[in-house]
Amino acid sequence: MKTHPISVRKAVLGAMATLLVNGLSTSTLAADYPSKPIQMIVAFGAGGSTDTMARIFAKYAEEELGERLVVVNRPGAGGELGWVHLANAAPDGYTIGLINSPVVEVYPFTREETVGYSLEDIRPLANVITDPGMLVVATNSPYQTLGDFVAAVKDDPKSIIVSHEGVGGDDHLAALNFAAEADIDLNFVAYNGNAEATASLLGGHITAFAGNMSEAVIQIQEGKARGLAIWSEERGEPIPDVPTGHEQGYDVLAAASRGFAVPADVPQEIYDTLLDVTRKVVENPEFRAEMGRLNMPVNPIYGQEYVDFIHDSHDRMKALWEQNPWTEQ
Amino acid sequence: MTLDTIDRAVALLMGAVSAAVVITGLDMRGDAGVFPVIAGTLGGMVCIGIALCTLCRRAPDELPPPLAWPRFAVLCLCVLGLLGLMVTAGTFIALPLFLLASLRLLGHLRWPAALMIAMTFSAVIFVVFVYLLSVPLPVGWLAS
Amino acid sequence: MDVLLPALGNVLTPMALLTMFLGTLAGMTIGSLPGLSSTMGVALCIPITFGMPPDLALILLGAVYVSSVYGGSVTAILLRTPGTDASIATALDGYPLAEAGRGGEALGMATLASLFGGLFSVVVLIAIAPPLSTVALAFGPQEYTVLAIFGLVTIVGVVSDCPLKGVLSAAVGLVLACVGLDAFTGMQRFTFGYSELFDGVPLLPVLIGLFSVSQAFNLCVPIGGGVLTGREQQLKGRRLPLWLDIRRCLRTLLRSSVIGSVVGILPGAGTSIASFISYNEARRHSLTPERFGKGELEGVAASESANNAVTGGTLIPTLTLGIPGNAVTAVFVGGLTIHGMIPGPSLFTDHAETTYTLILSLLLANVLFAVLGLWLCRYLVVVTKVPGSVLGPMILVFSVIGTYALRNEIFDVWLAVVFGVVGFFMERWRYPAAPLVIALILGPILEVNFRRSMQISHWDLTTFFTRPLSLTLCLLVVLALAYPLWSQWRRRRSSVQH
Repeated sequence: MKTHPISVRKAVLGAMATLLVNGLSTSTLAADYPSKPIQMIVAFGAGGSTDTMARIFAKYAEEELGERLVVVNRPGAGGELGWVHLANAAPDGYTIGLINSPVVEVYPFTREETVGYSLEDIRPLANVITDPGMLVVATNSPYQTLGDFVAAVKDDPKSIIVSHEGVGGDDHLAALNFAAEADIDLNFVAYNGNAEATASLLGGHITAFAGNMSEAVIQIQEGKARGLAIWSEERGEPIPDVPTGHEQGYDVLAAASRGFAVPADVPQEIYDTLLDVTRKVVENPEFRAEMGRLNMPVNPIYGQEYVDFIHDSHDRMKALWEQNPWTEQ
Repeated sequence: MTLDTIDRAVALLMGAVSAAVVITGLDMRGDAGVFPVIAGTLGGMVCIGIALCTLCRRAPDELPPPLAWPRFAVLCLCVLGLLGLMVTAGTFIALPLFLLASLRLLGHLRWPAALMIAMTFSAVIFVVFVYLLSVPLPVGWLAS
Repeated sequence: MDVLLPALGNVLTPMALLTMFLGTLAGMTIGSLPGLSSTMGVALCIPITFGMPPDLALILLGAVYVSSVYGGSVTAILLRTPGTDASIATALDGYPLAEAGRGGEALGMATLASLFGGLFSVVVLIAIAPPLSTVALAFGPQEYTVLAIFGLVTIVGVVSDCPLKGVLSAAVGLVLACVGLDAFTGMQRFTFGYSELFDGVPLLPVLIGLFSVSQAFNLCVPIGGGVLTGREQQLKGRRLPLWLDIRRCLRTLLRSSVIGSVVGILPGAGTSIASFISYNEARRHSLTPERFGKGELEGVAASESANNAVTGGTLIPTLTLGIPGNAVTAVFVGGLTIHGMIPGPSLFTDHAETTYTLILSLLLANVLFAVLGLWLCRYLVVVTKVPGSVLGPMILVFSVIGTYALRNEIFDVWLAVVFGVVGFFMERWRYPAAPLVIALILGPILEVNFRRSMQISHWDLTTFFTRPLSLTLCLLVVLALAYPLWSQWRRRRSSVQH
């Protein structure tokens, strides 16, 4: 079943105009692209951090495109439903979507039997945000560094409880990566969202919180929580006091990235137009400032480079999975 | 069928479902099965309780309130038609047809009244959901 | 307090008042339509707030939020089609009142109770938000587990004459709550390969099915059916509740508002727990508990004041800690961040003026929906005189479109229709539907928190009794279980004596 959005304009013009448009070939379409509103599929609910970014992006992109960019939330199955819709959308450039790495490249093998899309159905366009992973404890926690933490885990593995947002999510993968690097076994507790996990951390019900920088920044800046490590190559801009994992001798790099993608068969001209628009928006200082206020680090990767990025990450994750499938705990 | 007979049938059916849930739950990996087993066990026990209740009840047995089966069937068909047409023909073909059919067949309204209500109401839905809230309702034939 | 004056100035500008008025109207409409929930109302308004200055945007979101919770009571009372889980308890007594032609009175009481609960919680928010926010932190997994059990015990006791049937309904809800991808192991449970079920059985389609769709069948199927048309009854009774009734309900209003505010503070606990616990408490303290469920104004008052008190309660952790109290406030947080305001303590320092503008506008929005509601109720009641076979198809259409609009999935619509037929027969066979819905809401809370507690305590069940707060809650559960038995025994003994 495929659905198309009814725009106001389309409804007014009725069936006639749409018949006309459909009669034209895609190549003529590409010339005056875009001639109708474009829908942007967000695979998460309205008001979440992915959705917030999408809506801000849409605001700027509409100015560049001269056409409406309608955000359509299709949440479900941790993003999978939205990506299924993106992969199966008509490749006419009027459907684009947000993809979240590493989750988008992980589902095709972790959910092999049931997954509704494959990475070949989606052509990544450009990355916008890279939100590094972190390990955070409450301010009154005795652990000051990763070293303290690892020592405590080795001493009494049962006393340490780490939260994450769902098995196979980027937080969980980052923590697993760290556990493998430090040669420890961590006790995980899954939380459905950042909110409950933060409340549990501040209330002293769990030891540490594995999450993303944008989620942890407020609590760290307020002095309620302390970052033990940030899993990036450089320290995070809003929280320069938190050391990287590498600085403390644990070579862990993990982040959640958000970027755009289109259905695989979109004509090259349209792909280029969209890439161009994305580039203009991402390079726009106002857009950057807004992202900065939301503590979302902009990390532009365009076109082919982004395609390679996604595929590399896919291969890396798959190797990790084959070594130690995380849903088989 | 009396209410007691229905209760027994429900208890039997739900008991079987609960048993299936417990059996599947026991097979699950890690602690994933803990809660299904608890919920299924609860369901199974209640089913036994309900079945016992119907056997040793002293109050006189009752019949459920009468149901106008033909009207029920007509309504079900109308709803099935609505859902089927919504995805194929489109929301704004299916809606007026559904309203017209149900108002004529169940409400026995005159044609003009039924037609007017169906059209006005579909228009309201269009304005609220498509125009104001920009919900991408299926458009079906109106689009292609 | 010197920020209050400029904030008041912001609220009282013509533009702000107009926004608030439109927001209230939109919220009431969204809340009262069977397929639309408060979460959706707020989410749908977010794109509109883009172009607005932050003050106006927040005023709009706040007005939509509080008035949509109130709006849910209108159709819950008049048609028994609660648009959200918050107003299920309202329908228990509201609909019998409407059937008796006293819909106007019930609506009036619901409006006043909502106003009371809403104002109470906003005053709490202004006065003691920061210290109260620590309550949110004191609740760990163990406490949430016991709270969910408490909620389930309460609901089963509230709705059924035959408790066993209520428990079966709840058990089915708990089994349905297991469906989906398990967050702990990543395993698929009972999804039968449908990716639409990976996130679990979606709540709102089930709710809309069991209440709205089944009620549409109830109205349509009987020949000459309807709320009032069927039995030659007419609208009677007053439009507004008597002052006497209001005074009688004052204690209930106060108690329910406290319960609502406290439950609201707990992230993820849910509005329905608050309204059902309040309803149960009102019945327990009533001199005439047997009248509850058959058209008792006090029941409407309890449920409505509690669910509107939740609105202020949920904003407490949202604004002070940056931890949203429920799905609506999570969307609210999105709206705040879009305007560069990160929820958290800095709201009360860096953005104090805007924050207080929001809080004051909530006060005013509460008053506004109450005035609008009291004025509109005389016209709204007329809906009960419309023949069922005209009303039914319209409710069905709203349910179908509303369900589709939730996440643009036709699968959800089928689910709602199937549950509609199930609900229709459940009612005929005297199985209450409310425990199923509430169990579906509480099931995941119960399960994840139970398993979290077990992971934290390494499968030591005594963990529920060694923490003071969780022990207290355990005692409450025992009390809730034992009280009906005890009161039954007492009644039997007093009847023997007489």
